[in-house]
Amino acid sequence: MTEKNIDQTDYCVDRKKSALVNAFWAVLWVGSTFLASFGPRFIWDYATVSTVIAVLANLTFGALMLFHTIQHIKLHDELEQKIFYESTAITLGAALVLSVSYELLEKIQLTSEQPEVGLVIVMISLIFIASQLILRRKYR
Amino acid sequence: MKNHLKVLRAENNWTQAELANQLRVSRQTVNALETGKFDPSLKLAFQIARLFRLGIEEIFQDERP
Repeated sequence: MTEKNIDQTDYCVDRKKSALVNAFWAVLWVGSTFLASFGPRFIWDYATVSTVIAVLANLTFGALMLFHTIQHIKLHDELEQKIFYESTAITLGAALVLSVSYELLEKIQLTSEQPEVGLVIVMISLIFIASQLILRRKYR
Repeated sequence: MKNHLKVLRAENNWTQAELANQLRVSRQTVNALETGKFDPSLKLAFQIARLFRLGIEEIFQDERP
C-alpha cells in the first residue's frame, strides 16, 4: 500500500493545489469587481482610462476564474462530476424560471420595485448550494 | 446494475477509503458504487476489474432477468 499511498497523497495534493488556485482567482475576481464598482466614484473620479482598465481587469480575472474552475472540475472523480453537472443543470433551469417570474412581478404590477440583479445572483447561489447538498445526500 | 464490490473489497481486507485511494476516487463514490446508487463508467469498471484481476461481468451484472 506504500506506493498507493504516495499516489493518493499526490492526488490529494493536486486537488488541494487546484482548489487553492481556484480560490486565488475567485478572490482576485471579487476584488476587481469591487474595484470596478467603487473605484470610479471613490478613487479615480470617473477617469475613463482607469475605469476601462478596471473593467478589463475584472473581465480577465473572471475568465481566468472560469478557466481554472473547469480545470478543477476535471480533477473530480466521475460521481463528483455527475453531482456538479446535475446541480448546475438544476440551477440553470430554476434560475431561468424564477428570474422570468421575478421580472414579471413588476411588469404585471404586483410590485412597484424594480427587479435587482443582485437578488437573482443570491438566488442562483442558494439554489446551487441546496442542489449540491440534496444530490450529495442522495448518493451518500 | 448490481455488483460484488463490497464482497471483493472485504475479501481483500480493504476499507472503502483504501479502495477509493487505489481507484483514485472519493470514498463517497466507492460507497455509492457498493450500494448500487451509482453505476460506473466503462473506464472505471475496467479499472475496478483490473484491480481485482477479474472480468467486468464477474463483478457487475445486469439486474434484468
